[in-house]
Amino acid sequence: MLKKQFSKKVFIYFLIISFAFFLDRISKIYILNLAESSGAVNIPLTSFLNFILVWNTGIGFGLFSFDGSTMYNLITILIVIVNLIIIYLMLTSNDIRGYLFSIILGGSLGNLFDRLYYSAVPDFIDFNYNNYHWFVFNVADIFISVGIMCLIFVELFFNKSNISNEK
Amino acid sequence: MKNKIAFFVCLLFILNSCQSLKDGLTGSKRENSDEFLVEKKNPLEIPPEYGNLPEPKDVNQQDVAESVDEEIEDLIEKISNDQTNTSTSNKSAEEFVLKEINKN
Repeated sequence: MLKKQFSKKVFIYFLIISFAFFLDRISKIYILNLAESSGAVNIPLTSFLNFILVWNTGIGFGLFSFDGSTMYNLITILIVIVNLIIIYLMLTSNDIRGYLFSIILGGSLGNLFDRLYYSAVPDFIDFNYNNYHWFVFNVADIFISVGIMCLIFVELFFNKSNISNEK
Repeated sequence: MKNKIAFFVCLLFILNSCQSLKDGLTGSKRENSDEFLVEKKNPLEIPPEYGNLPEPKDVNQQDVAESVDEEIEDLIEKISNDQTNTSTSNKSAEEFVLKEINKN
């Protein structure tokens, strides 16, 4: 019975991961095809949203974007290790956090694939307001950010309930 | 709880790959050489006494001349060796005759 529940849980995780991964892949392939056909991507969609293709070799928020391949390889190894930790946390958690970890893992694998295949991650969603631009991101970043924010909220609420139970 | 939240924030930084627009378009800061340290090189010029320089000879002619010189030197060496050999042989013959005379 437990085994059946576990396999069902793993199957749902797998579905969530593949949904996030393939949605990210499709969006990136679409943008890269546009870039190949027209040379560069710079499409103003609305007054606050543009599609502009930039490549990131570092980590989040443009950090560690150096030219050295050693630094790049070290970051990639670190990301692989973090992904393995997330897989472990996902499989050991029994509540909603497992699903949140799977959302994060789906996005993270999408970015990791680009790191290994293109040696850089294509970012293309550019939000701007009054000429102030937020960091350019991609669909995988949305999954990762939403997953982590939800995890932080869940952690805060779960701990509050634990404290109240202890009282 | 604080540790877990710190871990999640670290995840946000590590797994995200968003890039600032300025960095993406201009490229990150690269280690360029300092342009003020680069010395200017003068343009190539013809040397002032270019006409006085000796013209190079043909390689084949030079080889033939060198080989002739070597042959002459060898011949001179051989002749001088022969002369020394003949003088020593003459001396020994004279000594032999003198010895025979003295015996008699």
